[in-house]
Amino acid sequence: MYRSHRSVVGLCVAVLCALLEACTGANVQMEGEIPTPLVNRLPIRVGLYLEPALVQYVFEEKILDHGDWRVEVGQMQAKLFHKIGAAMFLEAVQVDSVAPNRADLDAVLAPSIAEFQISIPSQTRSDFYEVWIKYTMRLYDTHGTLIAQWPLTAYGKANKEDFGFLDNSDKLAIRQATKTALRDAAAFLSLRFATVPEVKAWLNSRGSTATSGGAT
Amino acid sequence: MKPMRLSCALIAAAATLSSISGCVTTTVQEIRQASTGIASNESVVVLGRHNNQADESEDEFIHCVSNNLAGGDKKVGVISESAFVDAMFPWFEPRTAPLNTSDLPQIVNQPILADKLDSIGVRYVIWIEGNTHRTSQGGALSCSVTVAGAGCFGFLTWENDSSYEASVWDIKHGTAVGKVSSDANGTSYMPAVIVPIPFIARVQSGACNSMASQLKVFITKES
Repeated sequence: MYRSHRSVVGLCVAVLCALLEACTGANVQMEGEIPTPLVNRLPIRVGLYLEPALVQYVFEEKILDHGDWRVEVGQMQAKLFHKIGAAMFLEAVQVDSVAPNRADLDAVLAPSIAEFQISIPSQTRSDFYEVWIKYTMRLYDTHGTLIAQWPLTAYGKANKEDFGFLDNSDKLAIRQATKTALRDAAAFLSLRFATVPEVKAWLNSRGSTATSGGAT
Repeated sequence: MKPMRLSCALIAAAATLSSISGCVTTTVQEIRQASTGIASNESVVVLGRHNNQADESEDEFIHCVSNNLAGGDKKVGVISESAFVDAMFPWFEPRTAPLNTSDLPQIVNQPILADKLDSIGVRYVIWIEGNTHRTSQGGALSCSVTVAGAGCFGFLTWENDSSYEASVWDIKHGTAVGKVSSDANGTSYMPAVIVPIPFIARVQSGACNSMASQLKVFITKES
């Protein structure tokens, strides 16, 4: 009888813990790979300046009644931009500043995160966890003169129905939505880079539009 | 010891009865726009539409249709959604995927993409839209735990409705070859006298099985 009491108490504690867990938000460390974009290479050599604020970016928000939400997205940024750069350009190498003064490079691409937002199903009364990442993209010449600046907005979502009633469903869903947003950023940068008006004009001035950036 | 035996008997009865599922009614329709057929070295991919939240299909349904196409009678070669989308990145992402067959030439006419499609051998892309939702529910059920034991009493009932449509595109020719729709509905029951006994109508599974069977016939039938 004593053992069955312990079982019932244990069950109640487990259920309570599961319920509390569901209210405490999520702490997500992003990992994984971004596929190599299937795009035509632009005939330019580019330096990638990945500022510390980008590669160490951590999103934190306290959502009323839904706990603390934290997404460590910084370490994926280096993977993301190196993977895209290697596919989009003849060469993409990391540089230490926006003005590396290197004769072997044509330009420097410097992304930064301007804004990161999440929403959870209880906020939007939908089935979806959503993530928005607003990047500011800047392209400089190798002396640090700005050639172009444009916003790149990435969006990802995950359906809560795909994650069931697992204790860590919040974490898994936000990770999936963030991963989709990162892929979205990679997709739009690789497909639209050469169509940004200032970039297009710069490429035209160099006669570099022959195999322009993926979308034809 | 007697209460223990009674509990075991009730649990065994519940387990047995829960294998009896509720009834599901399924309707499948097909619209053919062009002839089909698939070679042994060709495959299909089943993709969910992710650009419209209202009609977004569950991953579980996409996997179910893929698995059913890849198994049983008249099975066809299937490449998984994730493998295909990764291989074709970034052309089949939620915001970049072609919405109409008129968008296909932009993809299949690019040598780098045509080569990739050839290498993975995909002949048909099957786009799935639709979902399963609860249309009605009723009844009440309460459970309690005391020092003497635990139990539930009551009756629950709910009705689910599935509605899915598959659009089949022939990637090789850049055309839409037809559509298969699958609608299913069913009512589930859960009476509870100490132990709840669910009679689950597997509506989504019914819609998946029907759609996959019809898709197999649709794709392999050379007409």
